[in-house]
Amino acid sequence: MGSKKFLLGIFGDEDVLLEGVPAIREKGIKIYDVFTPFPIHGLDTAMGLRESKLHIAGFIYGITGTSIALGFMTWANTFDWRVNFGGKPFWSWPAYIPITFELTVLMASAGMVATFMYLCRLAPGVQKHIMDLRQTDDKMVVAIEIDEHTDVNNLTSILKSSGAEEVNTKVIDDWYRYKIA
Amino acid sequence: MSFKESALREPLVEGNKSYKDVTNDITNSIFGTPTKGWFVAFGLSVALLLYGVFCVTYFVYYGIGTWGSNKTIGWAWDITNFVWWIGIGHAGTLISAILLLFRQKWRTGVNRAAEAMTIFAVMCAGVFPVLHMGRVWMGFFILPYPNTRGPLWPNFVSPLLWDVFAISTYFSVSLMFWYTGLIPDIATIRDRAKKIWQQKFYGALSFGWTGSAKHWQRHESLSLVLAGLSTPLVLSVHTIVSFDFATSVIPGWHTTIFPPYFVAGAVFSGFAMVQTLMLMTRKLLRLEEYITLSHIDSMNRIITLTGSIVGCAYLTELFTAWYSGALYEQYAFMNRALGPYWWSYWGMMLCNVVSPQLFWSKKLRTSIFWTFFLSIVVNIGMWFERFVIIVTSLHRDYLPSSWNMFSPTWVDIGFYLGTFGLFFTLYLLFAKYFPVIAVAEIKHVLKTTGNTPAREAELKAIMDKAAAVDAA
Amino acid sequence: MGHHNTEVDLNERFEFPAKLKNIAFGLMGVGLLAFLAGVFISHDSTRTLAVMLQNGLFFMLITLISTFFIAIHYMANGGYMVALKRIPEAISQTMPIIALFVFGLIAYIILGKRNDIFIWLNIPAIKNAEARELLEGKTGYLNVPFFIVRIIAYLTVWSFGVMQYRKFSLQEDAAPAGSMKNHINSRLFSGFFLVFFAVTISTSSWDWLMSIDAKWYSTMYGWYCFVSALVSGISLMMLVIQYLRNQGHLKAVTDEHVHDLGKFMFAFSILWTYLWFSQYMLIWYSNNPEETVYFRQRYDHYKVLFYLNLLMNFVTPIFVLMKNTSKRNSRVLVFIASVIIIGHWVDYYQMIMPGTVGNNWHIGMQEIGLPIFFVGLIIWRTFSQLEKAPLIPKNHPYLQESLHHHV
Repeated sequence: MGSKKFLLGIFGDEDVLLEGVPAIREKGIKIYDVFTPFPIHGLDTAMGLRESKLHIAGFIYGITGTSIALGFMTWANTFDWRVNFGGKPFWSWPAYIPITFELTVLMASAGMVATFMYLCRLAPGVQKHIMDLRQTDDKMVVAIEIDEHTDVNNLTSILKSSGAEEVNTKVIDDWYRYKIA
Repeated sequence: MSFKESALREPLVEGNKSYKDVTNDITNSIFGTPTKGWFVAFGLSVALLLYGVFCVTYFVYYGIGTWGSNKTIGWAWDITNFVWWIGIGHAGTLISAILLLFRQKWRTGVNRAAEAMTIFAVMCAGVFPVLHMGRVWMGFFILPYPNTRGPLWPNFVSPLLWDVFAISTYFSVSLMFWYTGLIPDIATIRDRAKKIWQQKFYGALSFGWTGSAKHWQRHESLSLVLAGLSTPLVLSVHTIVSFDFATSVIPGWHTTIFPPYFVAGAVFSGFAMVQTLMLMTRKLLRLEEYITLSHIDSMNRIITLTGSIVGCAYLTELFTAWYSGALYEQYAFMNRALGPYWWSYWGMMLCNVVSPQLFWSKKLRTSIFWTFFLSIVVNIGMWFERFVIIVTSLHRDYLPSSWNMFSPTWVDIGFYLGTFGLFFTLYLLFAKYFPVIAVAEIKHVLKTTGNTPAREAELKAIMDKAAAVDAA
Repeated sequence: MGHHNTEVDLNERFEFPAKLKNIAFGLMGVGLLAFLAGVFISHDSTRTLAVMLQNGLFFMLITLISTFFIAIHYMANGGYMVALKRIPEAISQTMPIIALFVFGLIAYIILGKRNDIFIWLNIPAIKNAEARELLEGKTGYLNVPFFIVRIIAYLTVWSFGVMQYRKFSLQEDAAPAGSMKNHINSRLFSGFFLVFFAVTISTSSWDWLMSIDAKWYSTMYGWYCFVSALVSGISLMMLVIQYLRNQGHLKAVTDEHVHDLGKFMFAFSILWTYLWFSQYMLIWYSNNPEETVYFRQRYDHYKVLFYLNLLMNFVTPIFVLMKNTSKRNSRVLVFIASVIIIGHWVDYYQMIMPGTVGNNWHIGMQEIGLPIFFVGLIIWRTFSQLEKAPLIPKNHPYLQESLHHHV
């Protein structure tokens, strides 16, 4: 790992970015990542990212919650310890619906949030390299990884012609460590 | 390609802002030292909170007998406050979840603060039933854990246990929803912070957010699903609270309209509280360009809508009590309106049914004074509603010898005041140290909803043309 | 993304194809014949009246929902649905016709003192003294003059609303571009219409549906009936839109609009389930005999429909529409919309029949024939109204928003 070098194209407008990104990719250039201060609809397709499958995970977590709640209450009230509540049947399914619903929602939400945090490597105290401090403010940063063989001048002009307002180089020495720039 | 918004729509961000302006306007107050006003408010809140802690300590030590509740009116002040606070919380989830479904863009200006309010209100609500247990240190008995008593499980058929699950789920999901939305904004603060402690503090809380495209994509997917889950969740919470009453056979409690009507009432009171807070926040933090009169107008419309639904429900209940031909049911409603607690019933009717109808007038809807005044009126009315439902239904027992009246003791009142202390302490801390407006979300809609000279010119052209054409 | 509206023709018109017209008349003819045959075979006027009441009310309410949909969009300043506004406008035009049918039918029942339909029409004939006394207590509301005043008020104001929105909309087309007058009038009218609608949609269902089981009561009943009609009404709009899109019309209505309507079908199905469950569970839980009798009868004698109701209106739409791709898939949407409409037709059937025909119910020629007739009627009326005006309300101030609508 060690040191990594990036060429950063700084964009100031999302509509320019949405047209610039496919233009850069058409030239056969691999975009490392794009950092933006707010979500930009259509950027994922422009970058050729796979669709997120997070919601499928959520569905599975939810179903798990449903089964646990229904299964547990059924087991507790009909097998483990039968109690007559107000003359109702031991297996009183209408009365199980509220808790079942709540547990479904809880497990789906908590599971999805945990999965999201894991996939994005987000956790309290984690520090990552920031390409450009303005990427959380008003600029969109297109990062392209470069090495000594890259034709930086050509790449710079491609970025500029695709709409980048400025082009900078960024060297990150200790790439293996998460740290604030 | 951007969405084309009609210039006829009132802009949601005034002042021709750039992205940088948005960042600065919303985060600047975080970096400065708090104002004098903030310290005064914070001091008062903490004092109230401490007084509440004192009252709670007092009654935990001496027992629930220090409350005004009695054998007939076993639920009174505490459950009224519990339902009231829970209801207030509902607006936050409604704004972030249901309004998302209905594509109401104005939600972006107020959702962050409203969600924070939800979380704090649920915390205030939660302490009432927990402390009503009496021996709070035995509170964990309500959880289904393998115990040495059999194991004897909690009663899954009881609505009170459903409440435990509903409130804790609601709190957890709201917290997760709120915090995942907050992460990108905390990263924005982190990258602007100058002081070391701020860099460390916001650095840790930002979870290492960079704004990567893939992360945003997942973030969007997560937010949508959480919004989708929160929509039925918010319905379920107040529904389950209403089940506490409606599953019983107490006249005035057992009525099938309770679930939707409680939800509407909750949203109604929640929006009123959002208005109260927002009117103060926009003034103190100088955010008038982000929380505009158009936002206030929209929220007042929701208040009128939900207030009218609640009004319809009151009348439905009243009508059906008569229509049912059930003697006890008829008496319960007669007693509400004409019995010893008539003032709370008519107070409720006046505040909840009559007062929101004033908002049919656009002038009042966009008046800061009237909005503020009526938002307080509505919250008083909604407190009365819960008091009417709980106390007036209970105080006339089936046995006339058990008939009784309720009046709160200083402990009851102190406990309630204490939750105000808790609520405002937390809200003031939040408003000072976190962005009260969702920075990234405002930027996301800025291009389509921000006001610009071009947009104003376009609006003027449309209106002039319409005036000319329609005059002809 | 948002590029699929390049080929939108703002003056696009729809021509009622002869084939579809024939289908509509065919359905009406076949349905009517089957109904009449069923009437003659069964020789049971109670059953016939109940079937007519069920179908008349159901189809009237689901076409009325279109007007509610328009009104709510005006009220909330909704922009994105403008491109498809002509569809609810056209569907709703059927409502006044069915309203005439409903009025005639109910007038016949009321004036004929048909206490086999509304038991409270002839209280002295009730043998049980307690029941007699109970119903006598309700005569302040359930009496013939007041009932007739109410039904006239509901039907006239609703029909007036239906026609008024159409009028404003057509005037807007004719007005010079840039005129806002009709838009503003529609908004103002919505305030009045929605207030009236909110109150009467509940009271009308007490009158026409809840009073069949006159001894029974439930405060939620009105809202339950409304949501049942609401989700079916939106499904009906979905069916018409899918037909037009499959015929190559309505380019302005994109997958995004359809997706949004699909979300409504999904969300309101959940809402319906929520109301169903809350009503059922509370009555089950409290176990008061005077309340449980309602579900007891349905569960014991209408068991198939009891479960079918939940299967068609809850399980199927929820699990199918949960996936995002199914809210954009024409075939799936047509299937689910049909399931929802039939499902809520079943719901209305099980509301009406136990209190009228009793435990001995059948689905025969008349039960199937009459809805077929109404479907034909709705097709004929909707599409002949669609033909009368361009498919796009080209002067609507929010049209551009709707044409550029994407997620």
